[in-house]
Amino acid sequence: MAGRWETWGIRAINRPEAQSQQGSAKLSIPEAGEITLLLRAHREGDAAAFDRIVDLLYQELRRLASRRWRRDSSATLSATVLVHETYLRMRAEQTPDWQDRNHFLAIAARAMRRVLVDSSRAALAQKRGREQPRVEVELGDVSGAGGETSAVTLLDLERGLETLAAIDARLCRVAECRLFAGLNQAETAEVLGVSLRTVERDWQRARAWLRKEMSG
Amino acid sequence: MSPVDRAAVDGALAAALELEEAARSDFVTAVKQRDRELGAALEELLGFASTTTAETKFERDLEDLVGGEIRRWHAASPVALRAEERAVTSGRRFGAWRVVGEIGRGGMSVVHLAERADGAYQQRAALKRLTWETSDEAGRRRFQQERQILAGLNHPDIARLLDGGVDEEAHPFLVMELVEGEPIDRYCGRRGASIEERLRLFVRVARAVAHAHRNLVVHRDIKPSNVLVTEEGGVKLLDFGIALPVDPGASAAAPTRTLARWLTPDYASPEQVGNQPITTASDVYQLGLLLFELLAGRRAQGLRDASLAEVARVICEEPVPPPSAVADVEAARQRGLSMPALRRRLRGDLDSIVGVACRKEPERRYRSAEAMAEDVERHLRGLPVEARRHSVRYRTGRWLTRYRWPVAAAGLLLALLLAYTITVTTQAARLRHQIETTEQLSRFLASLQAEANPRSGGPARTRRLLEGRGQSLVATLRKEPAIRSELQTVIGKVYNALGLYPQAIDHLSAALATRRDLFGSEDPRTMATAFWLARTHHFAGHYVQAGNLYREQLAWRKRRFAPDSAEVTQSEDNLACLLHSRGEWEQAELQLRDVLRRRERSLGDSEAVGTTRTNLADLLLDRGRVEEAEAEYRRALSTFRNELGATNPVTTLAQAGLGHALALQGRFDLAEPEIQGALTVRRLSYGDRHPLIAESLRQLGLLRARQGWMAEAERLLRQAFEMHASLYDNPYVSRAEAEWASVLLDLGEADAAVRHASAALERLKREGLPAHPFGKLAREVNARAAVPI
Repeated sequence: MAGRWETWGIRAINRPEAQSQQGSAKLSIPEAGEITLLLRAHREGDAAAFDRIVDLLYQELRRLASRRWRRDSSATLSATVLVHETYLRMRAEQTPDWQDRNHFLAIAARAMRRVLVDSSRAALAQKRGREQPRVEVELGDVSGAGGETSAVTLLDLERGLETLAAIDARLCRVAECRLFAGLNQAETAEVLGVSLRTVERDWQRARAWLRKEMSG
Repeated sequence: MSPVDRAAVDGALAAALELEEAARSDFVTAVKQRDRELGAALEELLGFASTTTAETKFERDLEDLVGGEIRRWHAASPVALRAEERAVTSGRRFGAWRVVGEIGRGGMSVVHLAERADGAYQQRAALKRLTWETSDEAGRRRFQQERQILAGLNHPDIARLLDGGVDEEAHPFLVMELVEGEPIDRYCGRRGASIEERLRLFVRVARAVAHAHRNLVVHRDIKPSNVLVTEEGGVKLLDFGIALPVDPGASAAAPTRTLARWLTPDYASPEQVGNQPITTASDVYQLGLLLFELLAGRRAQGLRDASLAEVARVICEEPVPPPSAVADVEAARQRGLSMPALRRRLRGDLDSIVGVACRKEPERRYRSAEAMAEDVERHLRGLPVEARRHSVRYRTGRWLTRYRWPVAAAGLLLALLLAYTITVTTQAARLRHQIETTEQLSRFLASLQAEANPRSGGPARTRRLLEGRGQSLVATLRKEPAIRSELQTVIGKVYNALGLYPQAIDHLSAALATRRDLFGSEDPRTMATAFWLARTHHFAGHYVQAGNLYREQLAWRKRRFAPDSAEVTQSEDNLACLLHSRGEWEQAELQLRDVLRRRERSLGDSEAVGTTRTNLADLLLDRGRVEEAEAEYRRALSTFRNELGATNPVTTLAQAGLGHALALQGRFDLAEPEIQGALTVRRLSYGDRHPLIAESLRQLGLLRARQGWMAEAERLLRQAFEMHASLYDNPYVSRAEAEWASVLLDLGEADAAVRHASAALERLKREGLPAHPFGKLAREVNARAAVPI
């Protein structure tokens, strides 16, 4: 009887055909090969694949994050952790090669950004009536010239990122990789297919722009 | 500002950031003169880009912002999920059980306190409800099967499975024996359990795991929180929740596949991270981690602060350290020992047991949990443990296969350890000492390997290791001259590779003297040490000593090897290179060409031929025959790339030479990547201070000079000279100094130029080589400086 079989638990949720037929909480994960195929398409220049992957990951990140919190609400949460765990899970299903990993993380960074911005906007919309705490950080002495600090929110950062994208899309990608996937500069360079030196310079510029935009 | 304007500002910003800090304000002024608005915007942005501390803070602020947003998102977690959580509240029934409270939450489940609800009898239990539903029939069936397997695990130290099912929302649940206890690490910590007590508890855990293995169940998630100890001191192993049955007898042939799951990186095995098949060996690894933690008081894989991008690499590649190396004062206090006593207690057997259990390759661990339990028991009874018999050879083997340093020490090391084992005498006390020293030695060598990996700190740490533990091992071995001389030879070679010649010469000379005494001068061991000492003297600029030793080596090799053998021609190559260093270029070229011809004939396309060819090319380059040199470098480079790969430091000898030859022909864009590429590999292999780094800086500086970037050239050539000068006293220092002087002169600093050119000539004279061709450039500088502009 104890032949070779796989456990019921996680398999069940990972299989598209096992998705709940009832309307209750959908635990869907993109079909195994889909992400791999999309990643490949994107690498081969299919720009639309990028958005499709972001869409898929968007769902996945939300799901993962909620589950993670239920497991351990005191756990240190960071975008990096979430994005990497998404990767680990995806990889367990699809075994992309190492090159795919950073590629994946870079795209997941975009999805993470979108998840957080959406949630932040929704929170803002609900704010009427009951005051919800806003997430802010004090950007101390942004101008570098002494004194002034200003409180900024994620939506300020989002505006900054949009500015970056308008100036040079790569600056925006670099910032996403650094802030939403926790990639270091070398990893970012690998992902974006540019030299480390380039990323260092890009990041320096991106930071300058962000500081300027977010302080204004 | 419109996007177009922004792009213009960004372009200016990019350009400004390329400049040295000092030059930026000039640039801004220049931009302002052309376009005032652009200049002002640029100035503002540069203000944001300038202060580095503010930048770091800014980055941290942004990270906080994103992190804070995630926490807020959590606080407002989806309503549906909250409702689902509320669904299981007190009083709800699951089959014959009623929930009366919540105990805790895990990655895939919530654990409730439950009691028997059908009135059959009074019993309390832990009810574990899984967070996902099994909506399909196949899933249900598999769950049923697993329940049966788990129910079959009847062992006093494994929490029993009492019941299970699927609730009306399709969530499976398991009802387990309720265990009142605390996690094993906390239990031991609170009671200040001694090492022996800890080991006894561990044996029970390992035996329970072994029982599960015999019943074809792999636990897969052994960690302190899954091992409870009751007030009475009994062990209970919990949570076979993700346990999977294994095929009978299929532990290797058809192992269970891993599943997608949350990793607990601190306790993950390499197979789990690598998505490899999970077998009972994975449990053995986790038992090793558990034992490590019980002994050392720390996690073996402390990945909490590691970036997750590093997790897989660390778990799969970085050896678990010996517990004795990480145990600290607090751990010692908790175990009722002083720190040195604790370390002594752990060293040897226990380090080895953990080491064997935690090997990265599953097939090299204990073959079963039972075998591990037995070994710990053997240790408790004072019997020799299995682990130690294997670990020395294992570690040596590992060292040999994985060592990637530019030191070809493999054969030597093996010889070292074998020699040591063979000389072991039968006297018990001495035996003990010998074994300990062998252990220490192999640990030292293993750490040398770990340190030599550039990613783990690299050359600087290797150096500290040599100066610390290396030195003390040498002292320990004072009554074992044979072994000591072997060790000192290894240390000397590593120092040589690090470019630390005085230290290398100290060790190699001591080793050579000992060996001449012990084995005589004809012995291959003596000559092996002599060979390295000769090379070290050569690099260090001691040409007389180097020459004598090279000639002795050649004579000896000629007696033992064929005239065109790799050995004899190597010695001849060495002597020819020595002539090159001494400035006797005519003779050097004749000899190198002869050696190259014979090596090509007898050895074919090989690293040896590539080396001689590179040596010849170096000479041709010095002689100004740039195109000939280029051709030889190209051939050597292709040989090295085939034989050694592109990132081997040896390959950079030809690569850097080629770059230099191209630069001298004005083919700058081709030259630059070769020179930079070689420099990168060299930095990874040798750190920041090494003759080859100095050489790369020199080549880069000469390239810049030819490109007309004189300030940059001056900086690089000065660095190259200073580095050469800090390493040794030889003609190469003078060459670098003269080249620097030449650029100084071009920059109009005639006084400094003359001073350094003269110093270069002075040095050559002092070295007894006043007519060395390297002096030519220095004399030219002096002559040019004397001509009034």
